[in-house]
Amino acid sequence: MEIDENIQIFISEGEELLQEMEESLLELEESGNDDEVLNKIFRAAHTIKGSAGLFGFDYIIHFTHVVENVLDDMRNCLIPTSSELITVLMRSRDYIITLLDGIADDFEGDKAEEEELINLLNAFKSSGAESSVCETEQISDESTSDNAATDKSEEQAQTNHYHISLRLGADTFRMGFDPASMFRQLSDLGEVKEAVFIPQNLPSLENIDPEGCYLGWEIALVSNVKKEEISEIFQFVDVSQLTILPPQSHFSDYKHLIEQLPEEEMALGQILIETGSLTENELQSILNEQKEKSDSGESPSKHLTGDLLVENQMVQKEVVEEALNKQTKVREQKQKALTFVKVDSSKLDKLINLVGELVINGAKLNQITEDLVKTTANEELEETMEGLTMSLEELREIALGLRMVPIGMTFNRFHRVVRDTSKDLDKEIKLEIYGAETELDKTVIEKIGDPLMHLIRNSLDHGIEMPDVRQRAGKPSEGIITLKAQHEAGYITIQILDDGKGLDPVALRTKAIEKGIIDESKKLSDQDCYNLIFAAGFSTAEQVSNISGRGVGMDVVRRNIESLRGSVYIDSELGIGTTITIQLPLTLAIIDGFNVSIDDESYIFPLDMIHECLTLTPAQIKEATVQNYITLREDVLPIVHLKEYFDTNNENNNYNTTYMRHHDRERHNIVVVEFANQKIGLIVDELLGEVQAVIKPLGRVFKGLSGFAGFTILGSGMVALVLDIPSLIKEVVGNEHKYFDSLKQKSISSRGNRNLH
Amino acid sequence: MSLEEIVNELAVTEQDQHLTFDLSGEELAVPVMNIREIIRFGKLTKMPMVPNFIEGVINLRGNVVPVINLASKFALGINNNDKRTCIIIMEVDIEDEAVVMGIVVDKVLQVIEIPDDEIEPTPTLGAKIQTNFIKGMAKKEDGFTIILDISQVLSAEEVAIVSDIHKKSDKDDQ
Amino acid sequence: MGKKILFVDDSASMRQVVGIALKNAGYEVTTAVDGQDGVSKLSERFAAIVSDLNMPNMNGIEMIKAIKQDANNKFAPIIMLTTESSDEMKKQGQAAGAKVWIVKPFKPDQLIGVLKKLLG
Repeated sequence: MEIDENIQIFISEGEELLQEMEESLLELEESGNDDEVLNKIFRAAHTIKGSAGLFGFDYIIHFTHVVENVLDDMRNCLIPTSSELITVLMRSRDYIITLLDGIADDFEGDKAEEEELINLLNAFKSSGAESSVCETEQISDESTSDNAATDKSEEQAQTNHYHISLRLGADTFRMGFDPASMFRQLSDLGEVKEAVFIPQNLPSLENIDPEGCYLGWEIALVSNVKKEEISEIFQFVDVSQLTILPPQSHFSDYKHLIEQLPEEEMALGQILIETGSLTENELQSILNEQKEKSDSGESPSKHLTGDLLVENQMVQKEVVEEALNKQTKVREQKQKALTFVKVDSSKLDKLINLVGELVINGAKLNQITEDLVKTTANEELEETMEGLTMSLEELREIALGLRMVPIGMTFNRFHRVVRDTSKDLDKEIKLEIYGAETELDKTVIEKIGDPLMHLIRNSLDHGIEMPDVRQRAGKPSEGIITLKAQHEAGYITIQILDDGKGLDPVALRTKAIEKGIIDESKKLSDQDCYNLIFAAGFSTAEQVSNISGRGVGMDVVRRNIESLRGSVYIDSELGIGTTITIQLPLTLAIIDGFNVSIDDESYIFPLDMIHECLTLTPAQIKEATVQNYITLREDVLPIVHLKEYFDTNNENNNYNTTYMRHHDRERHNIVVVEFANQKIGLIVDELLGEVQAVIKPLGRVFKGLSGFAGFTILGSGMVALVLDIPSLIKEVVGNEHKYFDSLKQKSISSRGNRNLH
Repeated sequence: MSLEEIVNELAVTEQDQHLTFDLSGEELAVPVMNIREIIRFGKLTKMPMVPNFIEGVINLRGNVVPVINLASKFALGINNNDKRTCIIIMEVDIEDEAVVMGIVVDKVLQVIEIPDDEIEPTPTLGAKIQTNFIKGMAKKEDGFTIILDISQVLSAEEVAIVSDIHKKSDKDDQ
Repeated sequence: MGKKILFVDDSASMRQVVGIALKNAGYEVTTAVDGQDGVSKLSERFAAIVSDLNMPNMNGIEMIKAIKQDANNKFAPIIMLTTESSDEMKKQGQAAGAKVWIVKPFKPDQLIGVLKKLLG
């Protein structure tokens, strides 16, 4: 089918909704019935069904209708939430994705799969009892309850401030906490209108613990912040009781507060009036209602359990606050995203290319201006140029920022994978995510998903042990896989850590020898053994499990990462776990560079990889001509003569003489670069200074050329190569035998064992 | 024919039209269809660690374009580099990807019409150039013009050579 | 100038497609992404309001209640878009003041037909 703009909107909207649906389903499984979450899931199916009707996709309507019905029953508490049901809903959600994907190819879905899912869904539906399964049915959503509020406690207090009820724990002071700082933090969030000190808990003088804390307050805080932000203040405080009531809380909430607090009801009520949280009338009606209830002989036990239920929920709320907090942030981001303008990504790429051109021409113009100003001072020109340069720099930052996307969305997708896979494998595995807000170039994000998926599957399958094995090894039966992202100078690191069985270097080495990947005589460090996993032909044959053994070897993972100018390392400890570290460049488009010349050609170093630039002393020059390191501030610094390195790697050294004048100049400028704790010195002819480099890909012809990140065009209009320091270091160290043999120099043993990890 | 005239003539692109050029004394032709433009040979950036038939790269209005030296590739000896040396910018489809490349030629000669039926099959002997790069030969008054099969000249294997070098060094490590 | 219609739906494809259809039918369309957004557009007077029921932030029922309080629009006919599975919602919608409902999924022509009947 021809996909027009409207259908495209429908598809991408559907994909977005289904992504949300997946997250919400996981949330539902984690937290149990939650009206809001359920409603979200329902809405996803509902919206897709509705929109599908616009385009006459009857088969999509047909299927989503069944899903919607089940979800509706769940909302109406006719079907209980269960892990099995969530699994079926997940599969249904996946099926809807295939339906959306299939639109372009007129593929209307796998009917067998559809039938199976519909049967499964209907089975849940019919098994659902007529009666309600929700415990809290009577506390239905106010918006849907059409009977007028009969319960007075459903009414809202008219205050517009937070009411915070706080009793500090006895150990507050012993833990070194100063309550005054808490008040300062509160005033940062808003205005502390009232703080009534509660003296009732002070013991008599002879019973007093001089280091103990007996303080408590009822506080009225006028603030626009979220409740979570307030509760954050008390996160590290030893609190014996804390209730935060948002503005216009229901009477029932105040009622619970009063019942919950150890102090006498009436006194507390007065305090609530004092803080302005309740009016006298409001308090009266609350207290009356309570009295009525006990008078009417309502079973006290029932009352109690009901309250306990709610209280439990409150307690739970506090406990999961931290977790919710994160989710709230993700949700906030999503809600913000709704107000964003969606832009065709090809337009964005065009913009970035154009900015790239501007930056290049700006650099050129700047050079011309500088030359001109030298001969004829023209202040106005100089100033204008300065202004233009500044604006260009800002424009560049903004344009590049447009391409940056937080990695959280990619990470969150793995919750599902971990859930499903650990179920399939009968393992208990939890996924922890850190640094979800870390931003990466859009293209990198798009391409890193598959390698990450493979690595995580590998950890699930081969890393984490079965629960009983773990227990026998003295580990908790639940294994943890951690996904972590963070910024480092010029690079982003993504780590996948598992606390599984770790890698056995000896076994890896043996296997590599068996497979003919390495020679039996080859000596390898443990690290080298781990990295064998990434060698071609290592990880394909023996992995037949259906989780990770999908015919894709780890070598493909490595290649995919390297194609993003990234690199991947592995570290492990037998019995403790494995850590895989992926390093990726921050941006693919424009970098701050440092221009050097080698044999009259310009080469650009990424500025943030440069540790320092040095001019060698005569002694060091001498050192450098006879060996491949120099002594720098008492340290040994490996060095590479880039010119010779380039030449030895050239297929044909005697060619090119036509256009290349040979220079026998003394080379004594050295650029010290650092990556992954490895420093090397690269000897160049001249240091030419900083430039902004718009990186152009190496392209079809040169894509296999390692050691270079791409091309850039200089202010002069000439093309220059941009060095890719991590791969260059790897290449130089990897090729060192070849390189040094050709130089007829002795290999220095201290460097022979050096590796990059 | 001046370069300008030739460029003008290129504006009329037709299937049968071919551009002939001189390369180390050989007269070769490429289909006009594949030609984007012709530029004068200027300063180019040399590339380290690449096969010798890659002359370097140039900046073509913001795009980095590799330049191939066919003389070196066909082992025709070093070409004369003078004022008439040109770079023919060509676009070739390689594995469904449009790749833009330049080829250095000593002198652009003329645009001629060579209908398909006038192209004779390549004789197995006598040609200095590897026959798989040749589409055929066209008769002219004083001999033959060799028509290059440009997609073969810049074929997938050829452009992948760079990666091969890299792979070779990889293997050496192990 | 055509009659002004407020169209409220959280689905972008709905807004796009229905919006275009209504415009083609000669109406002037203002769209809103949810109840809250819908309420914020009430400074204008609309000939009719078409809204989804189940939306984030503020759902359709709440929005109808707000519309019925709005001096500009309290008499504007309200057309609810709903699914057959939400009878309860339908009832509430009617109680709140919605005049007509259209069951999703629907074709834009159906909606235009209803609007023509209501607005002449």
